[in-house]
Amino acid sequence: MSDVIKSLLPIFRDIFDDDDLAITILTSTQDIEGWDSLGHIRLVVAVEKFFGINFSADEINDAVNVGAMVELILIKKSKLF
Amino acid sequence: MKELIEKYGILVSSRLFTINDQRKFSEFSGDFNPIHIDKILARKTIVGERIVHGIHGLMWSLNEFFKNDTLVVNFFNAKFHKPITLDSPVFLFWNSQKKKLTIANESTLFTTITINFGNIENNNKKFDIKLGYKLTEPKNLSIKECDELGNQEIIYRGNVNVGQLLFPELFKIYGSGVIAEIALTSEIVGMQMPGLHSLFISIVGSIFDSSEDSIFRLEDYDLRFGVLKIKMQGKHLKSQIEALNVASSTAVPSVKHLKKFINLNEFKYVDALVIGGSRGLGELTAKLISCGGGRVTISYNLGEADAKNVQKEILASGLSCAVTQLDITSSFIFPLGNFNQIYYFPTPKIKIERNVYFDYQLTELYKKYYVDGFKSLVSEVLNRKILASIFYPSTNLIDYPSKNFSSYIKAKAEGENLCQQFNKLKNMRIFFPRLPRVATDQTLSVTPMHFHDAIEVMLPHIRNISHDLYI
Repeated sequence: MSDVIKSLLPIFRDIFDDDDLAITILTSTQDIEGWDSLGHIRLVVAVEKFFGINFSADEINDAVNVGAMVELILIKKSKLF
Repeated sequence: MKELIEKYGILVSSRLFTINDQRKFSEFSGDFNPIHIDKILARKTIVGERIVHGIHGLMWSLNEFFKNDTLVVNFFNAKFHKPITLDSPVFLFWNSQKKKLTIANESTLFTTITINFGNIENNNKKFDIKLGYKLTEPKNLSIKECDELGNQEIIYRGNVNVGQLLFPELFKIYGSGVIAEIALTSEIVGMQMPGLHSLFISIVGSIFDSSEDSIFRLEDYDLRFGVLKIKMQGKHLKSQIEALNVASSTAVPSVKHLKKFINLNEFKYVDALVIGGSRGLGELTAKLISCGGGRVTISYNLGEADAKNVQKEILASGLSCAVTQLDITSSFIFPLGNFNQIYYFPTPKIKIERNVYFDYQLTELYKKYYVDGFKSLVSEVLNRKILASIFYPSTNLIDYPSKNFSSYIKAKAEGENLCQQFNKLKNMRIFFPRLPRVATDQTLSVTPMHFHDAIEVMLPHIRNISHDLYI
């Protein structure tokens, strides 16, 4: 799980344009300025591209905190192998 | 302000963007997309009001920066996190360590621009871009249609003289060719690719001099979200643009379609005033009652043309409908009529709140419509001794609270409380059911969302309120 968070960090920093941003599994849309619907789309697109996966509409709406996103990534990645 | 300075850096400038500023930028860039300049049409967009061109914010920031700095910027990466709305103060900050300009206010981060400094080789400041007439209206292309276009020639359709007045520092440093090319990226997105239903979300640009090429094309896209990535190779600007092709307004079903759900004359004793009946749930309610043989008067605040269109459709079906103007947020004249039902649908755009800060302005805006306006209406009903049942749409978000709608929930709960208090008065019957989220102009979102069917939601309530009229 920590590897996924490590990979997510530069994506979050790039999307939300904050080089000092730190994330944990508890980080949610409430904690990051700019993580609104537009930011969420840009984040999801970047995460999908980086990990080579695709989220469904429901998954996209549920992935509103880092923990949920990490969990989804792990499930999707495990299905790839 | 102290907190903002600690967070974003030194304060460079501040301002309001007015409609006059918007018109000037449209003239300069050639981007006349209604979301920037048309109050009525902008209401039906995903943002719900007029917004500043993203590129306008970028160019203003750079122009202000160059008032204090003589270094030349040859690269910028601008992200438009949230649209800037008109007539609200915004502040520009500069963080020299991060080389970042930020437009923000106390509650919202709007734009970040990371820049690099460097020379622009052979900068002869000439204007060598192909000129063309401005487009009279924006195109409205699907992503597939954008993809099929292939390479498109870059044409400047604005007025460079207006730009010189808006951004004199930029013109001094770069000359008109570079600046016109930055401005016309707004026109590419807002008027051409995809045009009408677009939102500009980011641009990465390198300034140089000069190239023979002058083209743009759709490079990549994501159909689920409507994300477009546009590559532009101009004579002085090479850029990667990200834009959204957002959902257009949600049309209410036609009278012809709605007739299938209504029994003949089932609302023949209804004489309803539908406040906010020009669109959304108000429009649907008016049409449903008309289909059942009832008389309706719909009121609008700003959308006269929308209201007239609803009326036209209802009248064309041989049904009854009157139209009146009524602004519930200021003093109003109560429409004449023997109403036995009043439906209350005035609403601003319902926004998802994902800000870290409490949005005081939004809370006040909701209260103006859902509490103060409703109180004024009921006072008028009492003063005029009108014996009508009143419908106040509350929200089931009160049962399933979400931090993303806390201001909205708070205002609706206060409205419910008001309904309960009024219902203690003699002859007062207010229905205030908690409705689920339905798709209307006011609930449009860029992320995929589940909505309830508006007919299934509203029709049982209209039948319930109308029930007593038959006893």
